[in-house]
Amino acid sequence: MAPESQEQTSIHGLRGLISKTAHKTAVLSSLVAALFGVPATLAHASEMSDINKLMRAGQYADALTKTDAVLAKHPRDAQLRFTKGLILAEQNRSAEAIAVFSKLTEDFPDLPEPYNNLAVLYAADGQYDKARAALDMAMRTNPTYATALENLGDVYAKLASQAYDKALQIDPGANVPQPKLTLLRSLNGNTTGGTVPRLASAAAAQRDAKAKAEAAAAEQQERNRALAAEKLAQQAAADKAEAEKTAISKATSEKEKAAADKAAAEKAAADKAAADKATAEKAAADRAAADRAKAEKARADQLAAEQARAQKAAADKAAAELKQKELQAQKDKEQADKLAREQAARAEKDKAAQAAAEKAQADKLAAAEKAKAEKLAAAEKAKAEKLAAAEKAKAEKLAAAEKAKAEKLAAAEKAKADKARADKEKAKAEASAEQDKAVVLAALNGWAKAWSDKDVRSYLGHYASDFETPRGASRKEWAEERRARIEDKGRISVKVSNATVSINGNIATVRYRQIYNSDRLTVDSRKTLIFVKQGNRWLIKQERSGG
Amino acid sequence: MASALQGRPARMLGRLLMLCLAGLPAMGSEASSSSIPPQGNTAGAPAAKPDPEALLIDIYKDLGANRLREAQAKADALVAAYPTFRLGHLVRGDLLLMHARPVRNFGAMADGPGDKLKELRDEAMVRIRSLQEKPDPKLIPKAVLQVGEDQKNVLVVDTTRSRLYVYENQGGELKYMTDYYVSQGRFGANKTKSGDQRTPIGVYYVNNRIPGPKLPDFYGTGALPLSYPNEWDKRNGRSGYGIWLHGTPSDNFSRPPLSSDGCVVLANPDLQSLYSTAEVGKTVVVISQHVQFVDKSEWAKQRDAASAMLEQWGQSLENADADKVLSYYSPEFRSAQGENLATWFGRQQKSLNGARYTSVKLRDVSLFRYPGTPEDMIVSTFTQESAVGKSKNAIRKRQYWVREGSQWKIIYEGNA
Repeated sequence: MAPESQEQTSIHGLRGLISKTAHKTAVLSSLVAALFGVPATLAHASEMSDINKLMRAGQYADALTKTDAVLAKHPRDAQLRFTKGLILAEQNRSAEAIAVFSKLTEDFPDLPEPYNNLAVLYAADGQYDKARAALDMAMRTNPTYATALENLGDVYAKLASQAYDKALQIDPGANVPQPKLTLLRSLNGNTTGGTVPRLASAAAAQRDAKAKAEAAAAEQQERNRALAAEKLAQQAAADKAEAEKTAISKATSEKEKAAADKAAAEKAAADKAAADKATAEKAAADRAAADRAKAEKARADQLAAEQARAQKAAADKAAAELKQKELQAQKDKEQADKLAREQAARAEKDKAAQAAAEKAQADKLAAAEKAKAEKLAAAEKAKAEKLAAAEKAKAEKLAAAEKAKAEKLAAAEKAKADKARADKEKAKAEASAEQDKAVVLAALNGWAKAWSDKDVRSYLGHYASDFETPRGASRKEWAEERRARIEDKGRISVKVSNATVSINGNIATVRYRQIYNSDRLTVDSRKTLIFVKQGNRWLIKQERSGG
Repeated sequence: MASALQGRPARMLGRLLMLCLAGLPAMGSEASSSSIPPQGNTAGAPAAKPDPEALLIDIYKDLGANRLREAQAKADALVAAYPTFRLGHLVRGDLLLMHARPVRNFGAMADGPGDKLKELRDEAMVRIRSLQEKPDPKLIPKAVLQVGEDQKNVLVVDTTRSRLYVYENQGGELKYMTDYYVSQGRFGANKTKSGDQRTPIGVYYVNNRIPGPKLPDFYGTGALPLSYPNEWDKRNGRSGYGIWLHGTPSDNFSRPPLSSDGCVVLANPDLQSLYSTAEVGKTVVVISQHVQFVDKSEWAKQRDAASAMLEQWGQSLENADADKVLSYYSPEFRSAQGENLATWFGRQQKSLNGARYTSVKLRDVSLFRYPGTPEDMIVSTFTQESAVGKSKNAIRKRQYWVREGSQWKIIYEGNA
């Protein structure tokens, strides 16, 4: 058993892992198809089936040619790209396969499968550190798995310790602390059976595939819905503009005309803001749709809503309604998660509700601007006018293009003025931000040091009183868990590097690279911390992986 | 996913094992010596039980080759079949721990009792090495020159390797049967005085068989007391007593390499198979610090030379020439009673009453090259049948021969 032959054995073993993946190509492909099962897939379902046939027959070159051809039409399609990675791996073109899977992890950071396959390829190449990092990321696509993995490690350590007790004849339980496993406090994310394919049995794979198909379909529908919402908002804006103009031309009294003019101006501004907002919302919605951590998204929405409300002096009924709708939407979504089979239908409803909410929010923003500029408009009136305008829009469809243009110009002027004011404020903010950045970095380093020193009191002291604990745990539960996690390690080292700070008001976002090292685990990852300024201290409000 | 995660820690211990196992011939599980069942023990051992040492070595091999799942399955089976095999639990612990953190050594337990861990690591190393240094079955231990027709087998202990080799007497030829892991004295070999917790080096006879039920649990399933101190030990002033081959307590499948008070300790199944064939006064245990092996032709040459040496002495007795007989004895000769050559020889001659042997025949002759002496020494044991006229007698004798210049001379002779 010379070292050389050992090396070969181990390479063979890892290659075997890849070819095992390929052996199950049929299962995996259908699973993947289900996973990314979007309308586009239906369009090239037959091509996919051809590719699979070629792969099963071992005709990888043909399979690749075919895949590339379909990819030319659907360059972003995740399933096709995943399949291409598999084919390249099968052809021993590891570097190219790695490139394909790497890009997939960038474009779809929440899919565990590309990370897993990256790890297999890295490991086959002896790059174990990279393999480990990739698998770590795969686990992180679902925080539940990360916790389960950590718990599994603790259980294994306990089993090992029992075996050692028998080996060394140590009285068990005498001075061995029980492992402190972490209880998950909520059903997070999907309850449909997990996103990492086990491939252990065809039945399990099918079950997974079905659940995933439903989840993926819902996801795509959400995306479509966001797109539709954007179009709808644009259409509504145009319609409203027309409606306003018609209203003006038809006005019989000066008073009515003045009111209508004012309403029209407001509407135009609102429409433009709504359109802009809708575009922004669409981008956000795309990202959000890709992100399956729905709980996080719901939180983000809520945060945005709260900020918007805080900005407004006239926190009106519309805001209350919006909040109501969002709560409802969130509730609906959670329910949708639990019922995978109903997810598609549910998500559609959610999205519709969300679109309506977004529109309401846009209107509300416009109203707020006007309130600031003219200190006149009452929100109820605006709403009433909007309703009237909407009704008129339905009734009539004649538009005077010149007038719309002029009104848009006016709106732009107003926007410019707003922007100038905002710029001034921003400049002022930036001056103090430079100073703040240094303070925030000091806070980050102090936090990492307290962690490394296992100084739990100081460590917890770096968190804001309203720190958003993961999984909705109570502050007390979270603090206890952190204490247990930190104190049961022999040693901890937390290194922080490449930190970038961006400050917006009293919120600072720090993105950095974190190298965590304990006697059990080493994790090298990108992290994001959201600091909030409370008094003269910057405290952690939110902790996110990635960045 | 689990196997990929294991990849890294496994490589650390794996590399260590690769070093340990390097140079091993490519062998399957039959590689372990103990898997060759000793003869005459077919009825005793349950057939289904795997050979624990073979399984243990297989686990280490799997570990070295990164086959962690196989290693884990075998470790589970090993401790299930031998729940008191501590080394099995240790390797199982290492395999489990790999899921949680890197494992860089045998017994990677954090904060374990260092002395106990060291003992288990030593046992692991000794067992692995025994596989590497396994003797060629065609070779014969140099120390065993000739076994008597009445001796079924001979046991040879190598204290450096912590190993006991079993050879069977097949018509005067020695056939390798099996070998076992053994423990020895806490302070190793070369016993000189009582209580030194060392294992003696020499040629000893089994002089009793004590069944397990008559013994405390500590001695396991039986004991074979040895003839320490023998004639040579006594002549050299070595003291002590109670050097046995014995088994292990019921809660411990095997003991660390250096752990006894001087006894040679075997796992109970191994002890049982020795016990079943051991014969009081006949079974020889050669305990050596480093057993040397020679091929058959070299062995035959040395045996013939030693045999001729004894034969010539026997023939000289048939001649009445006392000077000729005396030339076979060393000036350093001492009898069992401590008499010098002149006194002892005079007493011998006197007992013959002036008569002379009409014939001298030696039978059941065994010849061993004595281990652990700086000069060449051979111990012979035989039955001397001599006739004086019509009266015949037979006595069992033992002699120690040393080489003086080119001549072999007797420095001890007495009844055995």
